[in-house]
Amino acid sequence: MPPKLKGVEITGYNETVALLKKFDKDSLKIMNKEIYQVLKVTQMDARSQVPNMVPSGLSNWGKSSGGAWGSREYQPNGVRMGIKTKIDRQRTKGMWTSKTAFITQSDAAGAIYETAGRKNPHGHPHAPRIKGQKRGTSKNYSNSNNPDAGEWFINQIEKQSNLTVRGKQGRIVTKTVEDRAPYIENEMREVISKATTRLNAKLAK
Amino acid sequence: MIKVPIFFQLNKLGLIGAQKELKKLTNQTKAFGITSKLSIGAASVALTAYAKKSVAAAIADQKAQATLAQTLKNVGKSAATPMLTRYIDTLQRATGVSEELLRPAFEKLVRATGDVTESQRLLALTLDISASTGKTTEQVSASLAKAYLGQTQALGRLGIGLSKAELKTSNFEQITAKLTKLFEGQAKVAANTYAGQMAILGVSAQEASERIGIELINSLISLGGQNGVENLANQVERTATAVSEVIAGLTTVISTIKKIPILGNIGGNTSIVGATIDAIRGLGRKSIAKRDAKTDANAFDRGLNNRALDLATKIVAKKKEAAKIDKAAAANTKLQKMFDLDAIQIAAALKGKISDLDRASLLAMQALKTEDKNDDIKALEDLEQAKISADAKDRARKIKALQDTIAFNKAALDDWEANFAKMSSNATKMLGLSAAAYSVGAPNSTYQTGLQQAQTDLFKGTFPNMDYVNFDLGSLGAANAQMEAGIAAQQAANITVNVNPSGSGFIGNQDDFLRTVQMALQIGGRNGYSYSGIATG
Repeated sequence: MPPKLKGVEITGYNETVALLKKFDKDSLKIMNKEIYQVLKVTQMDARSQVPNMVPSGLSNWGKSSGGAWGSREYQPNGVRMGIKTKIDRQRTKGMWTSKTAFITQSDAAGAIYETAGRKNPHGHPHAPRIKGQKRGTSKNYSNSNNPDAGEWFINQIEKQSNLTVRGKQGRIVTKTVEDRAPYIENEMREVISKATTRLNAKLAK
Repeated sequence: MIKVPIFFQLNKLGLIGAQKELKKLTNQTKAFGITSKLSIGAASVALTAYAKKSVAAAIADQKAQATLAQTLKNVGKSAATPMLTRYIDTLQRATGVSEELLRPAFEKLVRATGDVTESQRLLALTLDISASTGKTTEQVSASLAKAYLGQTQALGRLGIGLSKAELKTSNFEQITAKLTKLFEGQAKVAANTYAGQMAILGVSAQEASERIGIELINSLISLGGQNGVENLANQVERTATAVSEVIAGLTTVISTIKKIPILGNIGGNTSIVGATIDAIRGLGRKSIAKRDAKTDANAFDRGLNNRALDLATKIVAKKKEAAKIDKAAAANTKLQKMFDLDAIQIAAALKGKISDLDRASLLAMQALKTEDKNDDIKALEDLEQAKISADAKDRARKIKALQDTIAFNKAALDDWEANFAKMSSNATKMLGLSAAAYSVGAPNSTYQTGLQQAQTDLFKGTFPNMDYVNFDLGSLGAANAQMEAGIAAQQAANITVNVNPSGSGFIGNQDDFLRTVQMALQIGGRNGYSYSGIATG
């Protein structure tokens, strides 16, 4: 059995592209534009779900500061503009390869908002720091002097988004794709169908 | 970065490949006629398809034959074409590997090696490897061809049990020797399996298909008449119409004939129609046999084979000429051997008085000149033995020389010791006679007595006799007396002494001396010196 891939599986896209490349390049251009529209709608939908405010209680996250969080501060516009689309290959085990349309989040704060609490819903497990000793270097444990900060951070985001995420789930990008999956499937089928019709019409002439 | 797929389409390469293979297998099964329950209509369709396939197979076969023949021609081995056609035919029937695969494989090998025999050996190896590993014949033959030309990477990629180091360090002969050892007999074993037997049946079916295709093409060409296939299409249509009309007419005729009691059963159970058909089949058989006897297997390679035959005849003639030249060369070589100067010199040297080592060396050289390898081995052993003996002798000689040197030195030492003892003895004697020796020249001595004593006692037996010197000792004594008298006379006579005291100038005469003394006295007086005693200071 092939591994289960994320996203909407469509059929006939590769074959249609191959045929259009050979017989009707204009239709191929039209089809690509229509696919771009499908992606654009998904992208805009995802961007619209980005909150305009920093979650309450995390006001410092939205303030310009230096240090470790200097590049991760929450700027709503930055998070929105970090959402992009691209078409690439997706490869899994075996010989199964696929041409895939992706939606991506390249902003660090956006990625944090998307995934916070997926692995550790209560923040990193805390390893109490012994006085006089150095901090531990393991990333699996927190040596913070404020051990409840992580859980607080996650809770505040969950409160704002009304979403608790686990495993591969997400709050903005992933949720948008999951919500729109039936629409995407229909739209893509329609795009391919229209392209095929155009091709048949041209070949029938 | 977070990356979430929106939509995708799987490119099922593996599945598509498997489906293709499955489809191929299904087609092969159909070719064997295993497909069941063919209706008459389906059978006719299948027959048409079979005919079409037969023609395609015949065309492909002819093309493959022509390609191989051209390759053989290019490498200068066109004479081997008929033989190779038979070889490949036999091989495909024995192994179940179709000639469609064997011909390209052989072509690759012969293009690389340029040698038919070597290519046949490599093709057999290819089949063994292919049967064992499951790699295609084409893959294996291409890898072997590359390896023959020095590129062993492809061979390594086949995964046939040869490491990179082995491939790098071994030459092609060593590689093929190892592969032969590893895969020997695999093709035969594979041919004996059920799959192999099925493949052999498949080859037979393919051959039958090709044969039928060839006949179909020949028949169509014949139908084309003088203009060949140019007007074939029109003729086929006309023929079809005519045949349908004839069949319709024949049906009517046969039904009419059958109604006549006498004509309906001539010759017992044989009807006129059956006899007519048998007669037509007989004519067909004769026609085919005549054409086969006159020409080669099919119309396509007829010309090619004729040309190959002509070329083979020419090559045979050339080979005969070459054989004559070889014979002459062989005679020349034999004659040269008869007058082999080296051999003569060796034989002459062996007759002389030579050392064992030299004899063994010469015998080894003589053995090298013969074809027989056994005498080489014996000569080598003898030579080694002679070298060992010669070394032993050399060592013994050196030891003896050393011993001789030691003995000589010892003798010299003994001699020196004897001389030393003698010298010591003489020295003792010399010391004992010293008083006499010292008496020479002493007051009241006699010179002659002393010298004679020295001659007789001191160096008696040591120094040589010096009588021949003939000292005149009498004259010597007289001279001595004269000298002493002269001295006495001088002592008696006045002596003038010139003095040159420092600070007083040169005293050359008596007046100077007196003046000097006077001056000394004056100085002494002035200074109060004493004039008695000897002045000191």
